Amino acid sequence: MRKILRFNLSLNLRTFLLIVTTIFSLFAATLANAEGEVKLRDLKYGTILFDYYQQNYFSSLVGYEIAHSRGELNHQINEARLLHGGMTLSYGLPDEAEGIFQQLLNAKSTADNDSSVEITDEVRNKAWFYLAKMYYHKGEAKKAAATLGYIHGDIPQDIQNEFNYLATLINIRNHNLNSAEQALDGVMKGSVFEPYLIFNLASSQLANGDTHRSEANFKKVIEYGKDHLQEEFQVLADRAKQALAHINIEQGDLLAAWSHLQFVRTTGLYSNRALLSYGWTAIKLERYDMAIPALSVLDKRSISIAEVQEAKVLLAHLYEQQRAPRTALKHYLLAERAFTSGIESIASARRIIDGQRIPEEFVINLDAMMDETDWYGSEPSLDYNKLTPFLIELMSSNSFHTVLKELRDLYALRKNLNYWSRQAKEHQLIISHRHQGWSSDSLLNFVSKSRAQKDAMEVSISELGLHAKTLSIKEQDRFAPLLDSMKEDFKFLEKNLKKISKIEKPYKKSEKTLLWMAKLHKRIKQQLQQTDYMIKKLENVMRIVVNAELDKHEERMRYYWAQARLGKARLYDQTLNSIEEDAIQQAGPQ
Amino acid sequence: MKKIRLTNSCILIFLSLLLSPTYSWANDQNIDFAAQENQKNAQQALDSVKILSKEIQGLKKSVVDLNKDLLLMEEELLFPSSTRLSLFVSLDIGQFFTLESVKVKLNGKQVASHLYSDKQRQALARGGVQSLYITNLNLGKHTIAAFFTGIGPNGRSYKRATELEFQKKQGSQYLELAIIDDSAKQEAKFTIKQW
Repeated sequence: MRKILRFNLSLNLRTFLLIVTTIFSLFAATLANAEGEVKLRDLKYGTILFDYYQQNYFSSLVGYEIAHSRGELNHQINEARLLHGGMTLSYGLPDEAEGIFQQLLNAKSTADNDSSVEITDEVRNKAWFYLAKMYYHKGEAKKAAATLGYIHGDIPQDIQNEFNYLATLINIRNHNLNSAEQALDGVMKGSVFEPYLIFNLASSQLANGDTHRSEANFKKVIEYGKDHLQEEFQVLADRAKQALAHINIEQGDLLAAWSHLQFVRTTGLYSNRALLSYGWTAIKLERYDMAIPALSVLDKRSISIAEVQEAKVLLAHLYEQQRAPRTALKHYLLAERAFTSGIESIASARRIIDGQRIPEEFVINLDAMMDETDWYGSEPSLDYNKLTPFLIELMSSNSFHTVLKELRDLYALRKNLNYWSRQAKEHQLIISHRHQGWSSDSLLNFVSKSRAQKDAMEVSISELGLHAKTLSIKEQDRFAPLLDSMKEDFKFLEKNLKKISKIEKPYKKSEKTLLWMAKLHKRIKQQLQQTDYMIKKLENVMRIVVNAELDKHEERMRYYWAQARLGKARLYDQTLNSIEEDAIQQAGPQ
Repeated sequence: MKKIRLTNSCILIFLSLLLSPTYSWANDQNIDFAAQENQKNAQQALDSVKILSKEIQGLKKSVVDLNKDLLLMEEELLFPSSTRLSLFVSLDIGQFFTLESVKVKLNGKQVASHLYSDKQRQALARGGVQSLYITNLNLGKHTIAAFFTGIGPNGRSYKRATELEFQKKQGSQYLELAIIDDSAKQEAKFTIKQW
């Protein structure tokens, strides 16, 4: 299939964030898919693929380096180099990967290519494609578009979908929205990426002020959710409904907004904002009785959620407005209690993050903990879970994700280097054992002991020979082969003993290998120190960022807490006033 | 895999949209709940990560190189090329056989066994080759036997074995336990290939 998409250049910050996060998680799988099922020719290439397909990028990279250094990638050298670029990128070494792809693309002929096979158009096109993806991932959309433009001829079949997807993303990012829309109506129709692309396109159109087309596209996402009942598409549809409600509110059409919000599901991470929006819209429409159930649902959720904090005060305020002072007072008091516990949770979260060492498990498993859907409706029990809810907003930040990813990689490096530190001790043990086993003294002892045994055997054999001569001829014939065989064995033993006796020094591992080993062990120590230093630096960054986030939460919570206290004081005041007024009224007629 | 990647990216997309100020239209949206100075420090700290990332990339590359050198050295120390025998497992398509486990006997003694995860099975089916076992062996004749268990055609449990008598020669030697689909017989073929 020929290239069908054109690229224009421009940038939108929000789209950038959306797309970067999407492309980042998709890249690894994309390259693996793009490789497809390869016909195995190099055994070592197969072992690299085995690790790569399991997303063990570190192992696959090490495997590639070993095979490359031994010259074991003879038949699939260009495929292996392409894969090398992909593995390097997936492992988080974009600069290195760029060099690999460029090197591959610069190899124009067998003369300037260190492989024996000239690279094919297919390999070249794939390399351009991955390079474009890499630029896109780095946020360089213009460069990505230009790089895609270098692809000549047919798009390799196995990357066709990915190519169209990337091209559409680039068009959206570069505000070439018409081309993106055309692609969605054509080549991307029916693709698994379709609803996400439509959603991204709609967001970009909204940001560009093209409300009409944006609305139409958000509606398409909702329709898609009706036909595809998987959770991910339902979540996407929920977001589209919220976006439509947002558009309607901006236009002052509260009823239309409310009608969209009514169909947003009330469970899941994204339901909080929807419920609060629903409550506010109902209040603005003066349908107070409709707002209460939505706010009551939020009221039961974790206090660490910003929407819940707002809902608690709003609910009490609503009862106050509806002239139900007792219920309002009860809700203000309950809110106060919840805020006290919320502030305690923040203090507890601070203790976790300020601990001497940030728990590795927390950093490693943060994504999994964020993916859990039950925490929003329940009170956290585990220490880490006390911290997790406060980090939802932070998790949407690309920079924070980079910190987490780098920290995880550094922890993995530390684990690997610690393993090699232990192995280094074993290497030394093996060498020292071999030296002990074959020291000059032990060799000398062995030789002299063997000589004594040989002398004793020589005497025994000669005695046996003499003794045999005293036997009858028939018996002598019977024993003769045995004696001959014994003499042969003895000669063999004597010969070997002579050989061993000639050894002046026992066998030792070559000095070169030992020197090499010592250098490697030194490198382990150095790299471990460097890793620890970087972990410390990044953990410090993480502490600063998380503490700033907790400050934000604490300020917000204290604000709503103060609102709750004000509401309570107001109601007490009103009650006192009414008691006073009653008393005056009662005293009046007297 | 598709589902996971879409879900993850989706969550990030939604979070970024959901929590962005444009979408917060509730009454308290104008309240700045952050201590300005702390937020500034946090942003500075995050910015410093960009510089640190370059250093981390360098470190990662160095550790990959070190691992390569250490593995080469360790192999030379423990498995000199004159006596080394390496054993690999490969699967060609795997339409007629779902590999569950493999057991290997060398000269009558069990030396290796492996239970496969889904991820490993998929990696094998897509052209990956597993390095199963590495050992030292004297020159001369040896016998290797491999026992495969898994699910065969029609979902039935399937056990097969294959044996090879081979000559260990000077230098590294490679053996591949290959499972190949035999379309004519509509079943898998199990062989041991010498490289």
